[in-house]
Amino acid sequence: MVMASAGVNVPGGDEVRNPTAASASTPECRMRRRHRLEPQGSGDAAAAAAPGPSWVRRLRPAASRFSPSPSPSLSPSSSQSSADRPNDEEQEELDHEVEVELAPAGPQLEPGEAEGEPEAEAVAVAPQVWPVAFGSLSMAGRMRMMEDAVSLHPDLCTWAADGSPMHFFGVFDGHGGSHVSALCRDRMHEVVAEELAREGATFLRRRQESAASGSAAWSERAEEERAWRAALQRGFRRVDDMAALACACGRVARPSCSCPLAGTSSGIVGSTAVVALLVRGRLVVANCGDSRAVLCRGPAGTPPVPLSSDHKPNRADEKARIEAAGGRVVFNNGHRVRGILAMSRALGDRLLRPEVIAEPEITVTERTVEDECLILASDGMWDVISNDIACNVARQCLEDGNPPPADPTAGGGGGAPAAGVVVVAAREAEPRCLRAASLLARLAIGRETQDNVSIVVVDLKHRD
Amino acid sequence: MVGLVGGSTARAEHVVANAGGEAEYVRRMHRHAPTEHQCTSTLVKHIKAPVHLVWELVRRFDQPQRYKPFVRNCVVRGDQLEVGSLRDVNVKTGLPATTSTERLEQLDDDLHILGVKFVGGDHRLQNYSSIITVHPESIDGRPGTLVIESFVVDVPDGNTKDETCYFVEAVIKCNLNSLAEVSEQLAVESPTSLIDQ
Repeated sequence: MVMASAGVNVPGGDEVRNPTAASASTPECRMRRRHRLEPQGSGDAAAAAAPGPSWVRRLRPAASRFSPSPSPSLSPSSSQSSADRPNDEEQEELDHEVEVELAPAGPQLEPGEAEGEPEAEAVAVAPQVWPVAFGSLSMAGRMRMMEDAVSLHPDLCTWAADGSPMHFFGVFDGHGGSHVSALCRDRMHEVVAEELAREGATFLRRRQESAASGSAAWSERAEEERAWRAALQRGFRRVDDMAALACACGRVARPSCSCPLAGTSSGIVGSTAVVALLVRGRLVVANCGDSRAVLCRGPAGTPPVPLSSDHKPNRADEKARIEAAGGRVVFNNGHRVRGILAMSRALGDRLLRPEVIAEPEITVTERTVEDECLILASDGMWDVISNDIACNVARQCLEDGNPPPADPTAGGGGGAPAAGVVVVAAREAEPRCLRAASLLARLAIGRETQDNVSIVVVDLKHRD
Repeated sequence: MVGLVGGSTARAEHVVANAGGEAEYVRRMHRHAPTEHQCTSTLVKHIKAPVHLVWELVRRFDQPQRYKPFVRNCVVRGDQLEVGSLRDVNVKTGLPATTSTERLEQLDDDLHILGVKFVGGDHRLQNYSSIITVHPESIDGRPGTLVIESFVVDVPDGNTKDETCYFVEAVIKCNLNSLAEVSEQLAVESPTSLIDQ
């Protein structure tokens, strides 16, 4: 296992701290935090500067830094097979709408994690570098309507405790119309950032109170996770509340919009939401619906790590919850809530309450240096590409910069997407994340997915 | 709240006021003759809006999307809208069908009866036939509307009668709840309702 060390040559070298400075890092870290918080405004800076003089940041023992974290207890249920979806052969026109978003982020040099254990060794360990780079691609595929949305916000905000950057990535798969997924794309990150700032202030106050009382029960890690989970839960709830006011024309307002589309098209309209927050060495994923987040870990052959679990109505615990709420799951071109909706959780969908809820399931996963990439995608991709294949394709794109061999499981003609379906940019010009997303999208189209496809690939090693 | 009354497989979810009137309407206007492999049911909805507003929404065979939340758009075949006309309904995404071809079976502006039959599409509702009627009533001393919708449909392979009824009722409940929301909104906005009051 290769460990990052002080003085490692990374882009943006001015952020690298030398071993000498590391040993006297406390004042420097405080200075850095203040510097990073400047764009946030004085209010946030004041809140972040709150920690009392008694607080001392301790470094973790080196060995525990790289121990692999256990897989999340949630495992994905079987993807809905393509046979479960109505055949849309009548849609002879294939939509060529392609949305390409690309903005590779520079490597982030972040302070080492602070731990509350009093027994922690005073080992001078260089801070871990947690790089992030990403690319995404969305396309309507065979559906005429594009109802997917993608939200990419690296450096969305900073975590109040130590000024670490928090990166936000989201995929939102709308149904019944696009305005709920568009709302998620436009507002989810803002709302989550607000809630993170609120939870950060609460975290600092609680830490100060704990230190003042000499309580031994304070666990920095657990408290941070609690704060992040609470912020995401509230963020989802707030956006779901907004969805009730969202009009098909795009306006969100009370009283309801007065345009002809008001009310009449907001009933069966909703969206999935799978959101990833990357902060220091942790991946926080919140999922509502049947989009999915998967972590590609380790060299080829290492099993992918699901970071979310699809909310299908026939998942045993979801079915039990639906029935406890007085609803039923009926098979109707797939298992559906009331025979109507093929997912058990979604933002929006007022007419299907109380069975369909907007509460996210959240996982927190420790990163390792062996992590290759994170893939967020809508079910238009996962329905036709397994976690294993997706990870192998992405890994190979990121490692080699070249696509893997043609898909052996596809038929001779069926393996290649129809001409004109996908706009293929010059390969040499594409960063690897975009190339991985693009290849996965083409593979999904080639396997005849019937749905919109949206894919975000986050390179956790930031090669190139 | 949508209640169930009558029908050979109906379930009494609650006792409704004015049961006599409703039962009479059901007996006279909502006759279906289900076969062994069909299910049928009847639902009612009380709407706080005058009957003319509700009927104006219900009778638009060419524009079901004005109140039906499952409909994306609708195209009527041919130029003349009359009994026997066909419409091609496009359904919103994420739902268990994408299209439905439907024929206008009855349209009575005096008795306020609309009858529709499904004749094609990629849904699983074979031989689906529905009747919807609207009736003036008084709610809290103000003009309101009693809406009754009944249906009969084949039970698809793999589903039970109970499941099929449950699913169709779920769709109709969504439609009637949306109809109430839209027409009550129109009643608030309409100057006519002031005169009625």
